[in-house]
This record gives sequence, structure tokens and C-alpha cells, in this order.
Amino acid sequence: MNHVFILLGLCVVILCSPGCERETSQHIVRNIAGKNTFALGEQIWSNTLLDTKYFLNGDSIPQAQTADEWEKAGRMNMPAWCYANDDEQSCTLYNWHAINDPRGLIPKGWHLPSYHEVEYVMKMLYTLNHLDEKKQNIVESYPIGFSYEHYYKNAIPVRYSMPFLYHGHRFGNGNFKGQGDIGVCWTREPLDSATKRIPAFAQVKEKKQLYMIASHPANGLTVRIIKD
Amino acid sequence: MQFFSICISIFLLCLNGNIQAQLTTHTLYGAEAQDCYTQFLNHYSKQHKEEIHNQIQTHGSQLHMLKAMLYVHCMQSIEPESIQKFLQNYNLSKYSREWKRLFIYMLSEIPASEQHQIYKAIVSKDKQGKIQELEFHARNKGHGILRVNGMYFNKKVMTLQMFSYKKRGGMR
Repeated sequence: MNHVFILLGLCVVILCSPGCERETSQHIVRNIAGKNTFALGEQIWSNTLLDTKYFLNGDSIPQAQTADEWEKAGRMNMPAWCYANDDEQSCTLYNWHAINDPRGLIPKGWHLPSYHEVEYVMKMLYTLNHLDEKKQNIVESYPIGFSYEHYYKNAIPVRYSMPFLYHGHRFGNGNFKGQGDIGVCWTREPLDSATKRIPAFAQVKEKKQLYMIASHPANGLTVRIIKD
Repeated sequence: MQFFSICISIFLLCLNGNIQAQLTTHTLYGAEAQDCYTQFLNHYSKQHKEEIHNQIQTHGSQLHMLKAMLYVHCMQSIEPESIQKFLQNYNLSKYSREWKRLFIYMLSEIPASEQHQIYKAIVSKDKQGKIQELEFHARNKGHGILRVNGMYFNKKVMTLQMFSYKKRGGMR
């Protein structure tokens, strides 16, 4: 009997701990456009990562089976995909040449998020997470300038976040990084001719805060899609 | 039967034309348009605040969260119709009229320094000088157009002071 009370006590402590009580998914509407989709604001996202080995016209996307093949594909500006961490049970990573290939790989009715669409989510989550800190004042919770691109002020606890999958990414030289810690996804933005980078968005599991990065086209990132 | 429906349609068209004909339209640009927009939002929020909040069926923390999300939305658009997808996603389409009115109220909450820039305003008045329709065009075309008609006024009369317009009377 004593064990039951101890267990119940533990459950109460866990449920009342700061991290546990604060997380919410009120802002997310799940399975809104079929299984594994969710709505956030005006957007509908797929909650799974793109996992196709073919372009829309039926041509297969070349698989890079070794680090050398991956590095070579990037150097030659050729499309390529690989399994994250070379693990067949894991998700599929694509280099930007596969994303940018005119044959296309995004299913009809969906698209890659634009910078503006990711920015919308970042601003929304920033505002929602700062509501408590600003004593429920909506106007003051809205980010000033580009503050939503930085870590939340005063290390406020993240209550509202975007559902994310953390499969890491692959550098152009073939090395994997961040498996289980970070998710990095392509946007549909074009290559910046000055920096030779493409905007991508990422989230670290520990921080649960969306942010933008600039990615080299030879990198291998995951693909998340938004409903048209 | 068909004849009668055609007659009724013609009658309604004539009636509509007659109503339209009775409206006087003023077009303002630049600072005048911005001033008109600011005045409109001030009046609207004062006149309708209570009524708008009473008509919203959602309450408490859920309402506060949705209002915050709506605020983020209205920072990027002045068009009430642009929240249609948002309303669909949160199963609020049934109350779209009420939420679109709240959207206009939320526009008024934007601080002056962050407020949308308006380059053109069209004010339509009836014979009695009552404002029947308003149209505001954002300088940033991506932010859309705010069109306000009887649905948003809900039988309340709005008076806007267009000082410079009066000063330069007869120019438009």
C-alpha cells in the first residue's frame, strides 16, 4: 500500500514540476488534413518528413551510399539523397540540388515553406511564449524588430513550440551531425548568389525554438512540407 | 415562373443601382488616407469593443491565445478575409463575422509606430452624409485591402473628420 502512495506522490511531483505543467499544444490542431498533419495559425503542415526516392516524373533520385558519393554529388551540383546517419530505419536527407531539380519532388497540393511562412510561425510562437512574461499583454509580447530570431528573453520556459523531428543533418563532406538533437529543413528560397547559401530552418530538441540558418547546397537536410 | 424571377432580378438590380447611385465617394491619398485609417480604427475600437467581445463564443485562456495569434496575423495583413484559413483551422468559420470584426479591433491595437501604412482610402457616404463603406489600401501591397461595409458597422453611425479634405474643398 505504501508503494502506491509513494508512486502517486511521485506522479504529483512530476506533474507539478515547472517544465511539465507549462508545455501546451493548445495552439496545434492535429490531423486536420488527414493523418499526420497539423494546423498552426493559418498554415497546415505535414508532421512527417518527405520520404521519396523519385522525382515527380518518375525518374529516380540518385542515392549517395557512401560519404565519397555524397561529397562528389555536392561538388558536381548533382541531386542526391541518403539515409540520416546511414541508417535505413531513419529518415531521408536531400541535398539542395535534389530540391531545386526542375523535375520536382514535392507532392501536388503541397509546397516547401518559404522564408516568410517560417517567419510567420516564429513570430507566432515568440508572441505566445512571451504572453505570460508580459502579464498577458499581447502587443508587448509581439517581437520587436528581429528579436524572434534570437533565443527567448530571460530564458523563459517554452510553452508553445512547433512539432519537430530531430534527425540531424549531413555536411557536404559526408559527415553527419546532430542525430537526435537537431532537425534542419530546407525552405523553397533560391540560392543567394552572394553567399552561395540557401535559407533553412532548424530546431534544437533541448531549446524547442525555431530559428533560421544559411545552408550550403551540398548539405543534406530533411524536407517538411506545407499544404497549398 | 421564370419570367417572374427575371423580373425580380431586374428589379433588384435597379434597386441596387439606385442605392449605389445615392452614395458619394471620396478618394484620399497619402497622409490624408493614413489619417482617415487611424481615425477609423480609433472610432471602431471605441464604438464596438464591448459588443465584439460579447459576441465571441470563445472565452478565457483559449480566447487570449487565439487573439494573440490573430494579432500576429494582423501585423502582416489588413484584410479581414485573409483570416479565413485561420478560422477554418480552428473550427471558427461558423463565427467568421464575429472574428473578422475582432480582427479589425486587433488592427487598432497595433502601436502607432508599427501601424500599417495606408496610401489610399475610399470613403462612400449616403445622402445624409453617413459613411456606408470604407476601403483602405496598404502601401505594402502584400498587406492587402481593408474593406468595411454595413456588416462591420452593425447599424452604428461613424463620423470621421477629414480636416485637410475640407480645407482643400472642391479639389476632388
